[in-house]
Amino acid sequence: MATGQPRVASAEFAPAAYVESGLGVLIARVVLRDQAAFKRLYDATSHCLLGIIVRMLRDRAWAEEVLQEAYIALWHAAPTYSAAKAQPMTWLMTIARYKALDALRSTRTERQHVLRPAPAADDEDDDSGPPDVADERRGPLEQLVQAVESAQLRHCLQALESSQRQAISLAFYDGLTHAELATHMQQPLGTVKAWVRRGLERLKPCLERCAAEPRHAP
Amino acid sequence: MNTSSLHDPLAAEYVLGTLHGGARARFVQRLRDDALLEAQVVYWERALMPMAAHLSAVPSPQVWTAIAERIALRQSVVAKPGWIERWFGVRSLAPLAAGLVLGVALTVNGPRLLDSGGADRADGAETQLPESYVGVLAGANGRAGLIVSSRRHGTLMDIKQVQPVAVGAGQTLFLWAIEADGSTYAIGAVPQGKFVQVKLPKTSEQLFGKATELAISLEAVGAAPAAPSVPFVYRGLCGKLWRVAAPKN
Repeated sequence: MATGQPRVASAEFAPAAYVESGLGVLIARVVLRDQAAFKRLYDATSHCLLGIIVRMLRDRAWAEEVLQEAYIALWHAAPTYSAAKAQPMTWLMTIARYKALDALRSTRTERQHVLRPAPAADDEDDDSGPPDVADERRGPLEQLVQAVESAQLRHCLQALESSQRQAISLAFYDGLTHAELATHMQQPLGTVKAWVRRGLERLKPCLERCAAEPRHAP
Repeated sequence: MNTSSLHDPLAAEYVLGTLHGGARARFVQRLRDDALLEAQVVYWERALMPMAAHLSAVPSPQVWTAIAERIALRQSVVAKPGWIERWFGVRSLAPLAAGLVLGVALTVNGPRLLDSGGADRADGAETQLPESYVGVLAGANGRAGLIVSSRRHGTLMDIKQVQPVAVGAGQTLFLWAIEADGSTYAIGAVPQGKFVQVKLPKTSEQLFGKATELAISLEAVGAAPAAPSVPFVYRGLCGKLWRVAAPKN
């Protein structure tokens, strides 16, 4: 073997852009059926994807099964990834979320697990680990919103009426349907549907305003 | 992208997850043929996914073990019957590969079928192209990335780089042949360029007779690696373009 092992195309990427670009390069390698690259992609992203899934399913073992399905889907779907449409991490997260939603919907009866206590917090970030959904009025769901790393998104979520924000957060983090939102929030179905819809309608112009005027964003 | 004039509330609810059952199925159906709707879904995915970026849970080691086993199992299962799939590595590329093979076959056989009554056509008539090795290698995005061809008993190879790759300083493209059992052997460094011709160290038949695939990796300039040190940047079929099957070596 030659000395001075080549490093593929690393010189192209500025350090700041490397993490996100690095995931794109790994996905490109996965298209070529590179299992080592797939392992690196898994190591770099699985904790985030499992965080999403475990929060929605509230069952560690089940979440790990769905995580496995998500990565098998990623392995096969890699050729369809388009960097022009989505950042690599966004794409990976959407696949994990849709898999978790499918899992929830496919086994839904009365979704007793929704109101079940969260699994023991054995994760890295005990602070933001899955909280008990029943307690969100006292803070944990709000804490999730406050912890959103994108300042623009956080600002726009916090600018919503609290009922709208709560409905959207429950739907997003816990995968609740309209009917489950109505049960959980103890409101008529039409009311929670309107909260979700109006909340999303208000979110969009706020996000676009922030994107257009980043200097004025909080 | 600005989609404010095209707001479809269902796109946001689909991404959020509140769209379900029949409504979700109908939306997914619409999504297949509606690029504007897809753009709105992409918009909302990009807008909402940062909500989840701070969630984290460390998977147990068994998860990766299970994933790796399933991938390896699938690859070994398709290795024998699914040669097109295995060569290109992914199912979605199989139609491309089949199209290429079919295209080649029609090019070769088509004129002969039309002229089948011709008196000057004996069995084993000449093909349009001289007996050649051809390879259409896919790039990282699955599309044709590089085309190579060489005469069966010749020592020159033409290389057309359809889709260039970034080659860093001190690196070179390096051509490999891959046998049916997956083993690789080095052919040599090849220059960058839209269309280049290289001199092979032996005849194509000697070099590629056992190859089922060709691939290119990036290696250090001047290196003579025994095996690829990095993943391939191009990979694809090694086709033997003549009428009689190659003798089994």
